[in-house]
Amino acid sequence: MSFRNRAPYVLWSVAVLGTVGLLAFGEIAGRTSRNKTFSGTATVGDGESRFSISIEPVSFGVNSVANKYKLLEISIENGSTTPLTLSSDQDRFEALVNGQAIPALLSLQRADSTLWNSFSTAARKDLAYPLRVGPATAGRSTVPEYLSIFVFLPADRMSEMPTEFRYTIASLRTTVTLRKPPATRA
Amino acid sequence: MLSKALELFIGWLKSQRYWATIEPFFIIALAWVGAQLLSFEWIGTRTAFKPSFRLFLDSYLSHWITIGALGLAALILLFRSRPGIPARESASHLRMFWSANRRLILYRTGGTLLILAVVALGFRRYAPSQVSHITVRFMDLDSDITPEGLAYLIYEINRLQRNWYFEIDFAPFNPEEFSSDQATRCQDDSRPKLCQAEILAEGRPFIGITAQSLGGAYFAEHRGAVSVITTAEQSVYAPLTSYEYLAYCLILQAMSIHLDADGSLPQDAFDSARLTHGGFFQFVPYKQAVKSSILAARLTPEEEMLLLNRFGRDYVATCADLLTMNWLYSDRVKGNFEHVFKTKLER
Repeated sequence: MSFRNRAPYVLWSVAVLGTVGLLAFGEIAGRTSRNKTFSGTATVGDGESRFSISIEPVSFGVNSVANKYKLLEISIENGSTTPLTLSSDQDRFEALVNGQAIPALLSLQRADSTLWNSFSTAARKDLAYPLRVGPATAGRSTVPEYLSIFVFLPADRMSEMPTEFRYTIASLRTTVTLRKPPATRA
Repeated sequence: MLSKALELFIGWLKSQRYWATIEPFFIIALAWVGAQLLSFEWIGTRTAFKPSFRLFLDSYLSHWITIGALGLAALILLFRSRPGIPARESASHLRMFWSANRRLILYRTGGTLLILAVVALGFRRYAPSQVSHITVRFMDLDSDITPEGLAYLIYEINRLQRNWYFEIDFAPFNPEEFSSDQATRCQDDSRPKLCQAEILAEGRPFIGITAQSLGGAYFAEHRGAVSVITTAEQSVYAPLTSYEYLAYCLILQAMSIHLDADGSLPQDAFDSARLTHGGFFQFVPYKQAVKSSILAARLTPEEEMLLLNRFGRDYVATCADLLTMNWLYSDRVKGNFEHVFKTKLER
């Protein structure tokens, strides 16, 4: 069989494989490249704690809690053998939008009790601002303690994606700035 | 000597005219005595619980044996009596036998059912209640106690149990999780920790452990199915460790919760008393006496009786074993505390 005779089969095969390949890459590309990660560190006792926020811009823009708040999850990794004490009364969390610092609510129980009371017991348990992040386990290698906390940003003031976050932890007497990592060339 | 006397007595009875009449009742009486003695021996086997015979005679087991014996005696009386109903012997076929003795059969069947119903009611009246599991949550712990050390202590208590156990909820307690109404209610409550524990309990038996002071009690507060224990008075129970103190308090509060759920917690339990003999439900306003109570923990005969009749032999036997604290001071448990949890139990 000459190349001319084989050509339609080859073209069909390339077309089918190419479509499948593009669809597959499209699926992967659509889910991985959009998340924006902000991170920062603070010294706690003898070690370091890492704070990070990962935001998917589309869902951040669209989703809200009762059309009032944007829910933000902060991941904390305490690498210190000292527990990290938190306080919804004294800690502060701010998002920087268009150069303006917008404070988040840490305790919806006090700030918006009607909405807070409408959540189920299990949801309140998950969303409540914790009292502490446990210490890392010391051993041959230190195993950090992980915890996720949630804060509520006013939805009507989130016209754009925040560019930076500032987290003030009263027990540490410090403010952690969570930024996007600097752009790198491939 | 005793068997010889009994033999003579039975021989004399057998020579009497009325022996045939009383023979089955005499056998039942002998079986009653035998069953009581066997049960008394069984109740004290392999446990620290050794009741007196007087206490045993007041127990549900003794009552069950008596009710069974009386029921049997009543059945014998029933089958011997024939009030104005003549028996007809001639009937050979079942149908003819039924038509000839219908009244007698109905009388005995009715009587048997009535006796069985009374016996069943009697058994039920004295039957021990089932007890429920109890959830333990660490609301906030002092620095000398670790959640894993306390969990180990509780698992060791559970190892000795057969009918119920403590379940641990490791979720860290956070007052922020309450609704605003719940938070306000507990702020205004004279017993804020007990109030919080009641919310966390969600209607189930629950014990909360906290390091903070309680509203109106030195060591523990109890209401309904909920108790809260504090380690705030650590200096009072020292040199005992918080683990020893908590082992004692957990057992005490578990019994209080079970008795309260059953409606049989003594009215005067934990009332302030000037005179004390170290009873389990006695409260001494002199708080340093808690050490004495822990070290010489025991159940009084009245308390043993109460627990035996409300929850059965296994329950009171387990409580008696737990209270000796021998399990806590065994080489295995002491060694585990020392090597794994870095706490030395001195006794």
